Formats: sequence, C-alpha cells, structure tokens
Amino acid sequence: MAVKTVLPFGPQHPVLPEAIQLRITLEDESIGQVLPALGYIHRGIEKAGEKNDYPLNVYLVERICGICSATHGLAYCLAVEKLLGIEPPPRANYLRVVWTELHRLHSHLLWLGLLADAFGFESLFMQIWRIREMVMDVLEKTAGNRVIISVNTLGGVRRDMTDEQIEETLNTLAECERQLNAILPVILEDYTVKKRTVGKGVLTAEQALRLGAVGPTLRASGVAQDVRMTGYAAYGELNFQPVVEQAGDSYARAVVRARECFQTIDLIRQALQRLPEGDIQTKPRGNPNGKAIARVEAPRGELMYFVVGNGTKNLERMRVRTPTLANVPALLQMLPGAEFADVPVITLSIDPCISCTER
Amino acid sequence: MGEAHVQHRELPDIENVQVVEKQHLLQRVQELAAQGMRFITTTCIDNGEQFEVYYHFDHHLELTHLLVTIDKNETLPSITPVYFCAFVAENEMKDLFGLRVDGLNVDYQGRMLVSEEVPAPPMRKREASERRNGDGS
Repeated sequence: MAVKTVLPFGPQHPVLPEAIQLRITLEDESIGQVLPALGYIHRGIEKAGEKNDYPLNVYLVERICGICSATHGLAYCLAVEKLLGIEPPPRANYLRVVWTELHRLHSHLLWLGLLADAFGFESLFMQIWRIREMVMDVLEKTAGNRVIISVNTLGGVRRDMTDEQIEETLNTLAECERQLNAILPVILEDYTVKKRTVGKGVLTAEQALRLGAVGPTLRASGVAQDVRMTGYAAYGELNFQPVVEQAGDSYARAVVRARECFQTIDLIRQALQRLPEGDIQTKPRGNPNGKAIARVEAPRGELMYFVVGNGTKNLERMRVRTPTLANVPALLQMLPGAEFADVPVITLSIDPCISCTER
Repeated sequence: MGEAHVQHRELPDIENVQVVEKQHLLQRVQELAAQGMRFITTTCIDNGEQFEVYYHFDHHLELTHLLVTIDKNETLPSITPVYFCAFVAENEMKDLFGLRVDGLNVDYQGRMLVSEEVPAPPMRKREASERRNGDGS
C-alpha cells in the first residue's frame, strides 16, 4: 500500500520568485490533494486604499504588481472615472492601450523565459529576456521608467508620445517580432519542451469555467473569453480576436502566451497608427460617490476593481480581484494525478503572480 | 423557482444587482451555476452597522451580482458546495472582516492571510465605543 507523505512546495523554491506554499499530499510519486498556504507577504493594500486620498491610490495600486503595474493603474482609473462621471480624451485612450500592451508583451516574454529556465534551458531563457529588454527600453524611453511607469492618471494619461518616439517604438517592435519569429519555434517545437508540457496539468473547458479560471489559463482550455472584447479604453476601435487553444495542458498555455505576443505587437501598431490628435487628460473634479466596477484584461487574465465612494476624498471600499487569485483553484485541480517532478512546470503554467495574490 | 425570493433593485452605478435573503442564497447560486455562470469573487463592505456581501458572476462578459445584507454577528452559508473556487474569497472575508461563514470546504479558521498576532479582523470597522482618537477605522 502506498504511503502518504505531505510535502511542502515552497514558500522558497527555485521556480517561485515569490513566497507561496503548496502543501502536496503524495502517494509515492503521484500527487493527491493540494492545498495552498497564503499570507506570507500580504500587505493590506485594499485597506490602504481606504486611507489614501483617491488620486494617490493610482500610485498605490501600481505597486500591487511589478509586472502589470500599468494594468492596475488603468483598471483603478476606469473605475474611479465612472464614479466621477468623466471620460478621457480619445488620444489618452489609445495611449493607454499602447502602454498596457507593452506591459503584456514584456510580461509574456518574462514568463516564456522563466518557463525555459524551469526546464534548465538557460540559453533560451537568456535569448528571450534579451528580446524583453528591448521592450523595457521602449517603456523607459516613452514613460521614463522600466517597470512602474505611472502613466495612468484620473481622466487620462500623464505623458504624451512624440512622433519620433512613435517611430522608434514601431521600429523596435518590428525587430522584436523578427527575433520572436526566429526563436519561438525553438521553444514550441522542441522535443524536450513538448515532453515536459504536453498533456501536463490538463484543464477542460467545463472545469476551467466552473473553477473561475481567467486569462491564458481559460483560453488555453478552449474558452474564447477576453475582457478586452468589452471595448474599454480604445480596444473597441481596434481589430483583434481572443487567442484560443483547445488542449488545456501546460503546452497550450505556453502557445496562447506566445501567440499573444504577436497579437500584442499588432495591437500596439494599430493603436499607434490610428493615434488621434488632441488632449491627453480630462481634469477630474469633485469627490467620487456611488459604486462602480471596472474589469480589464491583465497579462494573467481578468482584473477587477470594485470601488465605493462616499462623497469624500477617501474611498469607502476598494476591492481588487487579481487574476492569480482566480487561477489558484484551477491549479489545485490540475495537480492531482500528476507526478511530483511536474509540479514546477504546472505551477508555472498559470503564470502565478504572488504579489498580485497577496494584495 | 427562485425568482419569487429575488428582488431586483435599481442602482445608478452597478447594473444587474439582485438582492437575496440569506436563506435563499445557496439556491440562487445553484441556479446561476446551472446557467453556466463563472464565479468571479465576493466583496464584503462594512457599512458600520451591517455587512453587505456581494457575489460577482460573469456570463459571456456580462456581470451579475447577488447582494446579501446581514448583521455582523450572523453566519452566512458558504457557496463552496456549488463553486469550489469560492473558498479563496470566503476565507479572505473571514480573515479581514471577521465574517462568519458556515460550511467552507477549506477552512483556514480566519488565518489564511493574517497571523495569530493580529488581534482583530483588520478591515472590520470598530464599534463607536471601541474607537480611540477619533479614528473611524
């Protein structure tokens, strides 16, 4: 009879840059029940959001996540703009798309690099991060910072892009696309990569919906759901379709992210080519009152902000539901039945962001 | 069934909010699950006197919300028998607001996010008699 062993995976583990623990019940090499242990780095940002003045929260929420900071800033601004009853000018909406998509591109490249690293494929990891570095340079040149770019503000954006910056961004993206075309077949067609990912951590479409999965995790299971289709910011005026794969395994999730890199480059191109002239901010007036929800598609999936204003400069409540919180239950479904050696790859396949989870 | 217990109310800012009584919550959630709704999360709001608990659902990018208002010492049934994934959100409300949830499939006993050193649920507003120095939190 198999002996049951409970093994702690994390909170410190080479494949996890951040602290989370999975308590894995093993029967020999096979995984049984898995339970997450959270709370290692919980920061109480929802509470801090009630203490700050509402304009200051833009900078607070950007610090929830280091990888998709612009997405958090955008979601918060969209929600509070609903309470204030203001609309950003069209140019600001297009610039928001550009910076949000640049964040998606560098987030997906970071993840593809980490995936290569998880297999021990060091040179591929370096190659992909070298491409990512070009995106970081674009962010620094256009927004002044590499990661926390603080471009979103209530009623629009804080920075404009000059014609030279637009041209340089388009040129860099073309180079990025050329290098990605050369390197992605390596990661997606490689025998070792396929051996480690195909059929690992399978999630069916029905399970994914029932477990509340979002983003690439949901789309890799054959569900064509992308919050960008609701048309917030300027997405309603751009031409794109959700990237969908059917297999629902770790490989399908990698393919979705790889294909989304090209979709993102295309969206940035469309936005920059159609960039309207005009102002970049509508000045906010008054204090927020009422209740509003904003949902955006972060690199890891649907990000939701629910804000409640009470007519003062402080919010009554700021609720943040980050995509990794929604994908953790799906992970708990993917792991049982797999072998212990596959835990790092399957865990990585949902692209966990623990600083998002532990707001 | 179910519709008889649900009162629809108009809010100027959030659409599709259905006010549900505590005893009909599970039944209503089961109906939403049968319609193929994806559970997003819950939001607990401490309005000083009571807890307002929102359950957010999505169907083809359309949002639906259930709203249950309960006294702070009341116990809410867990919806985890219907939606397994709700354990994260329900444990979070238990930790941060001290909301009592009954029937959780994975119960962290109020210690999922906060440790034993935290004396009181950090996001729960204190009663007027407990406040110090005019701090309203």
